[in-house]
Amino acid sequence: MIGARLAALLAMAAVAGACTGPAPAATHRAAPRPPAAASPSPAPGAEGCGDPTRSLRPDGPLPAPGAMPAGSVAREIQDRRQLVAGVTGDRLLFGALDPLTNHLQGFEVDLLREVARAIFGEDDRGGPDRHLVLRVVTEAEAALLLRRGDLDVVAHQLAITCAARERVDFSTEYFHAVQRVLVARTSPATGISDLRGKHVCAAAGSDALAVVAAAPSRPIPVAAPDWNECLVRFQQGVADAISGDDVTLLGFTEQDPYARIVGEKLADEPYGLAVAPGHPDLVRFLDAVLEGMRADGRWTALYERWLGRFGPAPPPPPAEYRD
Amino acid sequence: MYAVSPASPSLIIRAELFTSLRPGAGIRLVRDRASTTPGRLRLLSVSVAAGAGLLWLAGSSVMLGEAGALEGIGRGTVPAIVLTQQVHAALAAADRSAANAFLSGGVAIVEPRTEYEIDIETATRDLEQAAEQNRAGPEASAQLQAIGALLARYTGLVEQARANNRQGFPIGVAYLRDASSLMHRPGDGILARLDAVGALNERDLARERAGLTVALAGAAAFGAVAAAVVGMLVHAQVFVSRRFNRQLNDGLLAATAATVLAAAWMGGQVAHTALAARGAEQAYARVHDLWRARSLANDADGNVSLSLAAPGAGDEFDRAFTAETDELGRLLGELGAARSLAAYRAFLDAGADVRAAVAGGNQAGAVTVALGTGPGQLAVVFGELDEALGDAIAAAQDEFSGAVDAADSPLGLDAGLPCLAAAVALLTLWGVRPRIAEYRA
Repeated sequence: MIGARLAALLAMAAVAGACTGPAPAATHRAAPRPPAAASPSPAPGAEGCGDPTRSLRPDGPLPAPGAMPAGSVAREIQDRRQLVAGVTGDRLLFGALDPLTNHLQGFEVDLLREVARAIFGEDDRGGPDRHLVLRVVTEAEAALLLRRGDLDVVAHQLAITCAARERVDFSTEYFHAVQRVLVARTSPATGISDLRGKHVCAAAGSDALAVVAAAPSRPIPVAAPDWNECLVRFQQGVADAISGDDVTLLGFTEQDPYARIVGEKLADEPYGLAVAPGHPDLVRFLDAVLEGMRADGRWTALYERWLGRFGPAPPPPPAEYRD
Repeated sequence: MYAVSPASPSLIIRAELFTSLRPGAGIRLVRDRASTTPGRLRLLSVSVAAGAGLLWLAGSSVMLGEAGALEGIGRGTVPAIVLTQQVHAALAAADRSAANAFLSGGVAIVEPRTEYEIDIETATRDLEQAAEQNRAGPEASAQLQAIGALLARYTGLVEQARANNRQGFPIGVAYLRDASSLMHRPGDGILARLDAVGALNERDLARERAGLTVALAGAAAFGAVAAAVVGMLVHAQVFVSRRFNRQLNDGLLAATAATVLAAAWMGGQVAHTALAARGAEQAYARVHDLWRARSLANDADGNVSLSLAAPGAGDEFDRAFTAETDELGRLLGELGAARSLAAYRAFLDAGADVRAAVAGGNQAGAVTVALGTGPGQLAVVFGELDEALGDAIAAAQDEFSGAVDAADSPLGLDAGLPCLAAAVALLTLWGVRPRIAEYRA
């Protein structure tokens, strides 16, 4: 009884903590509310939020491009003729700057193009991304920029977790990544269990770093300022291995043929499109776009375009809804 | 002069001095001699001659001290400091062109790559020169060696960045950032170590400045000797005119004038050197600030390229750009360098254009503005700023060299002083000798 009360109290404290964060305009979550009252957003909190990948069900079929329903966020985006999206700039397969053209490219960039196409229609084929403004952001600043209204949507290899849902809302899962381990081709290691006492790199502040630190084989976690810095350290021999999302690691094997990915998954990393909290209509719209992509094969085409060389496309991650 | 004739009076004094074996005999002899008129006159002329010798000694030591200190400052320490700043700017320029070459994809634009190679060559050559000419001791020598080793690592990282970038690998950016961090990070970065060498040279400069001050203060000792000589000459003049009821003694008068002239000349020379040294000091400060401005301009431009090449790095490079341009603007304002300031404002505008393009999601457009060679584009206005600063540096450097040369000039006193000192002694002798001769007649 006392334990349950304590847990509820802790959960409230966690919500209060999230709401007094650095975001200057936390408009839609200004007041701390007990988890039970947090609606339509799911109950966030340290105690867990059930299955965090459950998103909001699309209400009806996708509106025709250029005809977003009045009063919706999508309509606002359509009216200003600009979808402003945040992406990574340094992940080879998902969102990276092509040094030859200085254009961003990758799975997530193409995914955002589909969103832009759903809002503005095909007429933006005239010029590349005429209505899609891509801004490279760090994971740390993504939530802040969303809440400030500087970004409409973020596709940034963001895993949908209960902790992340305290800051932003998510679409359904658009890609299912898993945390694995990358070692040198010459290494006999077959998984993290063989990396006792070895230096295993992950980006500072990432969930992957915590997973490495908690591994029973007691590897030495090495925190790098970003993921690419992990590959630099790996190539310089400072780190023996890297542990992170398999798509990031696949990008690394593309850049370094002496690296290979080993072992079973250490954690699930379900990626979702992030939007500012308090815009359920935008979440439902994005889910409708994703639903369409799953159904008509565009998702599979995207997978094949960016990841096809590593194996056949799996079925798209199923949509999970909470209402 | 002693061997003129056997009857020479000084020879007699000498003979008497050498034949007196009793202690204290010499002093008594001098006193006895001084009590007689010719003896007094002889003693006075010998004293004046000795004073003239001292005058020459004191003046020469002042001039030697000045020359030594100015040589150290003008051709040793200051050039050494400026050389470290030159290396600093060349390395900052190398880091800038490495980022630019990276941003250009290493394909489209060949120029930044060539620029990088030239910058690295310049920096390496200047660095070797700095190591050869190092005067700041073993600590500076160790730092310069460490810089050489780090520079090899730096170029290795840049090459790795380039090789990865050419294959379209984002990890190239990570290598480039590591290289730039190795160059710029505070404490043990290459530029920080270079600044430490500069600081060691600054310490030597402070010592040489003190040396110059001491040398200039030595002019006071010269003045005291000159005053004493004038005193003796006036005393002799008074003595002669009273004893012989004559008009002013021409020889003594001329000797007095020569002494006063020597003192005035010396005073003028010291004042001239002090003034020119102050001018050199100001010119040096200007050279120093301008080189720093040039490094800052390179850093700021490099950070624009790094910010574009590594968009995922957050606002790290944008903040560095703002800090560097703020400092640059302050420096240029203090320096009152009009042309550089105008170029600086154009540079800021172009930087804002780049950022506006990035904010609008137009990465390719931002790169075009950053590397483009059209009017008002960043690479062009940076070139103008760098050129304006280069010209200002050359002018200030000329000003400095000119001021040091001017300060180092003895104004003819090096030849004039021995002549004047000899003249004082000879004119005194010439004036007094006929009076002594009257006693022998």
